[in-house]
This record gives sequence, structure tokens and C-alpha cells, in this order.
Amino acid sequence: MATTKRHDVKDLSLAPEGVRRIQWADRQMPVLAAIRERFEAEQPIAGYRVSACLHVTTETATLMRTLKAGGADVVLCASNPLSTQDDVAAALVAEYDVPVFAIKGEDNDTYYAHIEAAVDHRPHLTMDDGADVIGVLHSHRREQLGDIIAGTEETTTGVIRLKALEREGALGFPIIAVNDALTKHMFDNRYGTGQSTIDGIIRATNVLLAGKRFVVAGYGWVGKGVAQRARGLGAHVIVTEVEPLHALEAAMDGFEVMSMERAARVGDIFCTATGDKSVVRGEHVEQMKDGAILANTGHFNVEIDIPALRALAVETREARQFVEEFTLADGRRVYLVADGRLVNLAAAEGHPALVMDMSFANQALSLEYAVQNAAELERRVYPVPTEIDREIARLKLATMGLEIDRLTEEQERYLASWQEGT
Amino acid sequence: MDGFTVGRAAAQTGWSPRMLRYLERAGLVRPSRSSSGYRLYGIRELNQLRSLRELRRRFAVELTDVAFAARLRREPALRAAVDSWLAGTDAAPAWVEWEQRKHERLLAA
Repeated sequence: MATTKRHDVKDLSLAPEGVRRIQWADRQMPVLAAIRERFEAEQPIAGYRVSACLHVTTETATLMRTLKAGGADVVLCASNPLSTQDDVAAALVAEYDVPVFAIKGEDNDTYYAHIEAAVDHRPHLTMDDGADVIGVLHSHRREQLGDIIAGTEETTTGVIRLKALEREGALGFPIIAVNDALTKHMFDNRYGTGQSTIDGIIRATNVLLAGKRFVVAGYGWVGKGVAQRARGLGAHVIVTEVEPLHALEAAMDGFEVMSMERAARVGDIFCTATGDKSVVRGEHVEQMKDGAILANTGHFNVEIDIPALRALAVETREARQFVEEFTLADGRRVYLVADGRLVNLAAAEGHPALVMDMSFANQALSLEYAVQNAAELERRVYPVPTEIDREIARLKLATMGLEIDRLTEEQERYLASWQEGT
Repeated sequence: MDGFTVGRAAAQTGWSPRMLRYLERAGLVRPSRSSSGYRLYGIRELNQLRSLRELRRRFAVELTDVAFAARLRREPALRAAVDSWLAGTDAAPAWVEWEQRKHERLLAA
């Protein structure tokens, strides 16, 4: 089915390849498929205009199809000019009737013009991965703020920015912070990043984890995922923390907890997962054993103090692809993986579609929730409601063929009376 | 003001019309177009033309250097590739580098 709507993609003839790959991703995304089936029947977002700004990938295409099935009039632009898959963009336009404004490698002017084009759609609902559409609406398109019921934001940094706007009283419409959902966190950070971080370290170094002292800095969602998986592979895992509750949890989960200063002397492999900077510093590197491996799986390549590492080195060379060797003055060598960037993206393949299934299920149900509760929502940043989290968990369990028990009437009464009594 | 034609802009700024067309092709000073297709130089473009000599003199840069700087601004893939080449590594795919800059800007805003 050809479309005559406005769009801007690289080449519509790429559509058949895009369709094939979208169908493949779709098979890995059973929760969204289940939501799509219900959306088709119930049409919960029928007639609402949606402007989405996300990575233009096969997984996002599956989300777009789901929104479309629910009756939404949706357009898509890219949240990153370099991650766009041109065949997917073509397929969305030519096959699924979703106008797309995205071309891989587009220049900055075009990138921003495409965000403007998505805003020209005059959305009732927005979806962001880094607050681009929200940013445009809050700067020179403020006259449109009144039309908007709500928006969703996928990333932590986007949410930090939006919460700052909320505090200043400058937020123009309600936002649902998808990143806060348990079903997103759990899959994205603990299982997704947890697995792909280990995958990246192993691919880059071909190190055998069994028997190694593996130091994880930070015991948040990602740190937990990495620590548990490293232990599963036979590593002796040490956790460093600054937050007493996280540190206590790590200790009670059976991990050795110590300061980075002490861990630096005993660790074989170090992986930072804190979200802060200079977690592994020059003073730590000075203490490290010969052959220590350093990797980072936090957002930015600032968790390992790379300038300090360079300053300590008398010689550096590429030991193998993705691994840089630093020789210190006394001859000890330390290895930095993927230049301290997100090791799971740099040296492995990021998230499988199955992880994105959970994130995007939250996106789809959050839009439905926003439409149903438009009257009550204020100009605030909201977490994903618990009932959505629970619904997604239920759907996921069903796709895994797992059954759980239901409360009997007697149990429900008992719980209710107990809660009333307290 | 709708803008000056090439001839008037040249007279105002001391560049030749030919040079103005070169600067446009190089992506440095980009006039808008009238409905009949004439180049129209607005205040922003006139100011750019006037300050271009000063920019070259102060930093001893050639027009081709400035043109490359403009390309770096326009082409994120080129910028990411040059950045990682200068850093002596191209470990990360370009989009990861771009993602990091975007989130840094968000946090700084």
C-alpha cells in the first residue's frame, strides 16, 4: 500500500527488506503483539495524533504498528541521526502507512527539521527518547502545548531534565517516565545490560571469568545484573558502593563488599556501573595488579578516569580490537576495553528485541493510560502506574506459558480485612 | 527587511558577487531565495560576511578550514568519525558517540 502522506526517508525501494526485518523483530516481541491484538479490537487511542521521536529500528517499527492498530494517527522521527535503519523507515512509510522523517547520517539541520516535521503533525501525545520533541514544544512551538494530553520519555537523562522543568513550574503537559517502570528496569538494566555487558567484556578480551576477581562498581539495577551474571560464570565478585542500602543488599546477596581502594589491589577485572564520574581513578590504577582489565557499562565514558590512566602510562598500544594496553612506569600493564565507553554497545550488540518488547509495551500502555486519565493528569512527571507494570508482567508470563495462582475469595477477604484492620 | 540581492550584499560587505556565490556553495553563508529565485541576504548573512575577514585574521584560518568546520556541524557522522580518529580509537559505533553528546547536552541544559 503506497502512501501519499508527507514523509522523508532515504529510499522507498528499501521497503521489502525492512518489512522482512520488522517481521523478524515482531516474532521476538510477543508482549507488544498481544497488546496489538487487544488494541485492534478495542481501539483505545483511536483518532489521537501521536508524534514519536525514537531510534528508527525494527523494534520501534513494531511499536508504531501497535499504536496504529489502536487507532492512533502516528508519525515518527529519529532520536539519533546515526541509528536510523533506512529500510525500516521505508517499510513504515510504504507498507504500514506510518509517515517517517528520518535518514541515516542526516545532517544536524535535517535532523532538527525532521523533529519540526513531527511536531507539525500537531500531536495530542508525544513519545521521546531524550526529550527532543518535548524540547521543541517547550521552546518555539509553545502555542501547541495546550493541545497535548501527555508525553512519554524513555531515558533517565530525559527524565532528569523534565523533572527540573517540573520543579521550575515550566512543564507544559504531563509526562510519563517509562524508564521508571519495573518491567522496563528489570529487563533493560538487570537482564539486558547485565548480559550484554558480560558479553562485551568476553568478546573484547576472550577472558575466562571463572576464578577471576571481578569488581563491580555500583550495585544499582545494572550493577546487580552484571554481578549476578559474573558470579554465574564462576567469578569471585566484589562490589564497591557509596550508598549504604545498596552496599548492604550486595553483602546480604553474598557478594564481598569493599572500598575501591582495597578492591583495586585484588581485582582482575573492573566494571563500572554507577552513572557517576571518576569511579576508577589514577590512585586506584597505581595499586592494580599486572594484567587488570577495565571496562565501563555506565552511560558515559567518564566512570574510568581515562586522562589519569594516560598520564600514568609510559606506553600505550592496541592489544587487540577494542582493547588498549597501558604500560605503567614499573612495567605493569592495564587493559582498557572499548575506550571506557558503554561496553555492551561498543563491543557487543546492545539489547535483544525481547528486552525492547518490555520497554515498548510500557510505552504503548502508557499512552492508553494517558488517554483514559487525561482529565486527572497534571503537568507533572509521573511514574508508570503499577497496574501497567503488573499487566505487562501478566502478558509476559502468558507468552512464556507460565501460570500463577489466583487469590481465593476467602484469601481476598482475609487480606482486605487485615488491611482495613491496620 | 526582506534581504539584499547578491550585488547589494557584495557592495555592502566588500566581497565580490562571485565570492558570495562561492561562500554559498561551500556552505558558509547561505542566503534565502526570493519567490523568483534570487539570492536574498538577511541581517544574519550580512553580519557573517562582514565578520568573516576578522575570523580568518584572528585565528589564521582559511575559508576551506571554516568550510570544514561547517561540515563538522552539519554532518554528525563525520564529526563522530573525526572525534574518534583524533582520540585514536574507533571502538564505538558512531551513533553511540552521538547518543553520549546528546545526553550530556540534556544534563547541562
